[in-house]
Amino acid sequence: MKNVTPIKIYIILCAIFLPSLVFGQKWVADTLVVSFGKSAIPNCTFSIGKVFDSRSGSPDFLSIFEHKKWLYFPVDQVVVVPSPLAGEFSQKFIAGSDSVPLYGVNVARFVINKKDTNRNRNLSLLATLEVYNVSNTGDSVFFGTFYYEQILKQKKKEMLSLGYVQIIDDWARRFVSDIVSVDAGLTALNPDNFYHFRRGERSVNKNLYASVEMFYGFNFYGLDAELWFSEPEASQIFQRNSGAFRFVNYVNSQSVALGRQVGRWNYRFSNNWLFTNKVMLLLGLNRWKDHKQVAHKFEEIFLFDASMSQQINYNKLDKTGFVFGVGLVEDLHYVIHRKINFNVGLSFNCAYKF
Amino acid sequence: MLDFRLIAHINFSMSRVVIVILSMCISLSVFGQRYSVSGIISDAQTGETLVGASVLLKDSQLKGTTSNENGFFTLAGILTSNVEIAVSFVGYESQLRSIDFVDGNKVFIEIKLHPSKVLLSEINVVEEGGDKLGDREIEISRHSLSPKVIQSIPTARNDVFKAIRYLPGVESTEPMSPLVSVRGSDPGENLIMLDGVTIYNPYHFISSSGIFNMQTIKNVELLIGGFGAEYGGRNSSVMNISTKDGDNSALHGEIQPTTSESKIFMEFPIGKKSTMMVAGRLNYDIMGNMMLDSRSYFYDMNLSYTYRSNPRNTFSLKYFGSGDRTKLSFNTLYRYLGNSVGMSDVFNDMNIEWRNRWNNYIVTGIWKSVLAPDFFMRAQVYGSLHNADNFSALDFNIEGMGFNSSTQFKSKVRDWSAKLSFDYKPLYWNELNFGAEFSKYYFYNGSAVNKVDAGSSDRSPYLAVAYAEDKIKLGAMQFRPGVRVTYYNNQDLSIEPRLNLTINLPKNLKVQAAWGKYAQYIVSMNTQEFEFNQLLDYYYPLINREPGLSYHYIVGAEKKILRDQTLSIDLYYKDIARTYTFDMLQSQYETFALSEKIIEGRGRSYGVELLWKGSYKLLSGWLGYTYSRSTRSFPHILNGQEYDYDYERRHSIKAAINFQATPRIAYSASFIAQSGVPRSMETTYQTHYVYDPLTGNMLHSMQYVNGLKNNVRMPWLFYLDLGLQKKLVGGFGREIAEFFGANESYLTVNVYNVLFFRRNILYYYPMGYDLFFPISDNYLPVVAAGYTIKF
Repeated sequence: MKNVTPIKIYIILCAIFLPSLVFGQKWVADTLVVSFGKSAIPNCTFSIGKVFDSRSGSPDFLSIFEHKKWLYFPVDQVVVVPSPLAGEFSQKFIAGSDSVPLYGVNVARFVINKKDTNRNRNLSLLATLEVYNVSNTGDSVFFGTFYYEQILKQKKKEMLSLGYVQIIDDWARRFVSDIVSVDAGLTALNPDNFYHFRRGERSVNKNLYASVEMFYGFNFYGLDAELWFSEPEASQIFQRNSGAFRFVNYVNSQSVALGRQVGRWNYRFSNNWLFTNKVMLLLGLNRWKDHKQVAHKFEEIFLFDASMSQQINYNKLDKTGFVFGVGLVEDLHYVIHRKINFNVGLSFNCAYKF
Repeated sequence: MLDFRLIAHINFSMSRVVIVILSMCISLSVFGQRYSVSGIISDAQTGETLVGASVLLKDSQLKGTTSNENGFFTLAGILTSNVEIAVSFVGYESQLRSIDFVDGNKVFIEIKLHPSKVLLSEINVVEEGGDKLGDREIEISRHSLSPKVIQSIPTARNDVFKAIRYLPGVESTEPMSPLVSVRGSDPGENLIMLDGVTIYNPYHFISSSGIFNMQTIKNVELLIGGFGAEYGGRNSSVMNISTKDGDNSALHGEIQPTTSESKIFMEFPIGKKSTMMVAGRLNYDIMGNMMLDSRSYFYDMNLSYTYRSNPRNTFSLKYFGSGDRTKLSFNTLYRYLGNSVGMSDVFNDMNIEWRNRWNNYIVTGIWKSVLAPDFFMRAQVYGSLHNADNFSALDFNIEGMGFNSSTQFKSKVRDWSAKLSFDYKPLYWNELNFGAEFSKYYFYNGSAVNKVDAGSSDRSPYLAVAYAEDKIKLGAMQFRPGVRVTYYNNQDLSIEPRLNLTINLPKNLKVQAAWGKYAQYIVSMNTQEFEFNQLLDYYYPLINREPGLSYHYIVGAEKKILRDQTLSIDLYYKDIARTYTFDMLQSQYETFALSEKIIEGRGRSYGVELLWKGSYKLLSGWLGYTYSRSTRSFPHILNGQEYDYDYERRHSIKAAINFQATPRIAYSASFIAQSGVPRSMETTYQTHYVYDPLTGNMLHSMQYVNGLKNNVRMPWLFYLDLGLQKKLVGGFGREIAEFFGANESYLTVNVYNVLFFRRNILYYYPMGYDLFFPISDNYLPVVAAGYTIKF
């Protein structure tokens, strides 16, 4: 009891818990109400009639994220629109005249995620909308599904609510343009611009991938186990992130490593074939097979690894099932006190897309 | 087997007991029959029985009771033929039931309580305070821990044995050991039961944790002294852990995958009358595997099948299994470290190895039946098996001379038992509990030294027990006399009387007292002198020796100070009339081969425990202080003088606090400050000289010599751990939960050893004359994160 007395301990405990007693009630989750865009889109060449919100949860829900109070304490920030989203949808698109086509919308997904970097924040709007043509007699005919994946970069000093308003407006303008273009049959002229529209097809949910990728090189072999979610594809080129666990067997060591933000850049050739370039940074541990013969040092337990792989995958668009791929893997790994090692090998991928 | 002479002896000795029981029964009948209602209280959604739910006769606040560990209650002595009862339980919506005694004077009902929609201000991890009526008021020195309470203690998340160390009177024996000492007793004097089955050494080696998966636990009841006649065979405390039977509405469960441990728990209905619970845990030591070249893991699994043939009869079949495989070799790491600091020569010829194989298996069948509305029966048969095999080796070379030593200790326990208990409550103010048990044991202990067999022995004693106790309420006073009679392996009968007393005084003040005699035939002895860290109890059945014996004297008071807070004080004195330890003059090989060379001694322990628990706004938890003394005396130690016992911690301050900041986010903290334990510290050393005829040199080696037994006291220990539990609202964790249709997913983050800047010293290693090297366990704070999916 030389350094810390019970009194000091008591003070530390009080310092931790007293603020919670005093300010406890204010820690309840904050709610941010944002308008559904700056204003209605005037003079639309169509109007939205019935809107059905098939999302689970609160009808006014737009987003939820966590932010830190006093730099440490996590608090839930819920973002909502002033009234149920279905109503906001109807009011957003104002027709220029009464004799315009009438559409119905089923909102299968509409969420705006927020991700902060050091200086900026990224807002990403993810929406899946099923659209119906509504006839004069009130009958509705299924038209198709739109998938949106829109990103807005915003400076951190800018007001967050303005970012939400802006990204909704950006999306709304694009939606108007899409409806008009698709209705006019422009998809055939420039199909790449309408990659996010599936005519006559019902909406699909995001997929969960459970993947095992095996790789073999001249003097190494191993496997990556990965798990990630993939939103429905809204453009021909799209990026996804996964988390990965890697096991590698080298000539004189075995390693396990973890990578958190594995970047996957994808390009779809056709409805069945997808090209993927994967980039991963891993941190791991080595088990030296030759530790009885070679005087390894403690620092040599740690592994730093950078790896890339390029694969052609048999991966059906909007369909669940098995995914198979083949390609190349390049592996750059570093162990303290040793030279940087570079290996190239063949990779084979087998995944299930739920 | 019983012979004629013994039966005659039983009859003679039992006569007094029979008279006592008969007088109790006669007293029940004298006052005649009135109306009584009994029933089973369960969760309306899951069908799980609720322990400790309150049942009150409306308009008569004096008449009430609580459900027992089987969810059963009886409210007798009702005067009118039409009454209304109020049933309540923390976290559930209260229920009013009207009862008409039209078809007779006894009614059996089923009560299903619906979980309440909890308001933020009502979230409270501490059990309901002193406003409970009924039998549980009699229990002095009783603590009840729900899984919610245990999970709110950062250090103890998911481990019963770590959680109970935050209760007054319960102290850790050694920092790296899961064993606990209760009120100055030996860890082997604690009776640990899982669903009524005695379990031996229920611990895992890695992480020094208990083998019980928290996801399967319904309730933990801990009696740290003065317990009733229902329990016996151990002198210090009783821990009764009850597990879930399974959800009868739909599939529910939890998944917890982490990098070091994965758990799964599922409960579901099978048809209309059966439920099942399945749970498993696997701990894998990836870091140890990579850094120590080890192959270590442990697992445990639970399986429970329950069949409810009708509301009055329930049959359960439960299985529990656990195993530890540990292979730790420190050579690799030592060599790596040696190479890093340029001392490769020192470590290259050294080998420290540790190999353990532990197993526990339990199988039990339980039949619970309401034979009559006021007559409850519980019948159980079980087998409890335990194996332990501990091997450790130290090999090194110095200047061409090799030192190789290894020890191996093996232990086996087989416990086959049958239990029958009855609960009869014909009157409101009187309830009779009685029962019988029979156990057949097999114990094996053996050792090997330097891989040479050093002997072993096995024994197969049996034990028969009968007990009875009467709970009597007289106005504000409730008392419970009881007696436990034990017949062990052809030895004399042991009669153990017990008495509990509670007096309810005005102004929410309650005074309690308990007295009892406790005998223990299956003992385990303190191996602290032999082992660096005692991780297991080695059980010895006493043969042709008097049982270990202790007397408990406890008085206490409890006062409800605010709406949700209680303050309690317990004073205890434990007269340890007979206890055993090893003969220090024999070799440890003889010791572990179940040698007869054990020495009888005595001891005592006494102390005071203060506990303040409850909730205030968003805060809930408890704060406790304990002052305790514990001594022993043996003829061969200090010439029979009393000395401070190895596990005595004189002062102990403990707190566990939970702060429910929002419905989704809870912060928690646990704190312990406790004085150190006494230790026999080396105070001098002798130098031994050996002449080497080959070189003509004199070789010398030093041997450190202990002073008096427990001559020094270790420094105070301080622990502060912080925790956070957050219901996930976004991110990968939430998405995975949503994908599988799970209701909730949680993130838990714990920060251990916040007070790292003040190093806790656990051992001192002698480095030379008057020079000791302090050894700690954690030098830096440790952050651990976990993830749970609940469906």
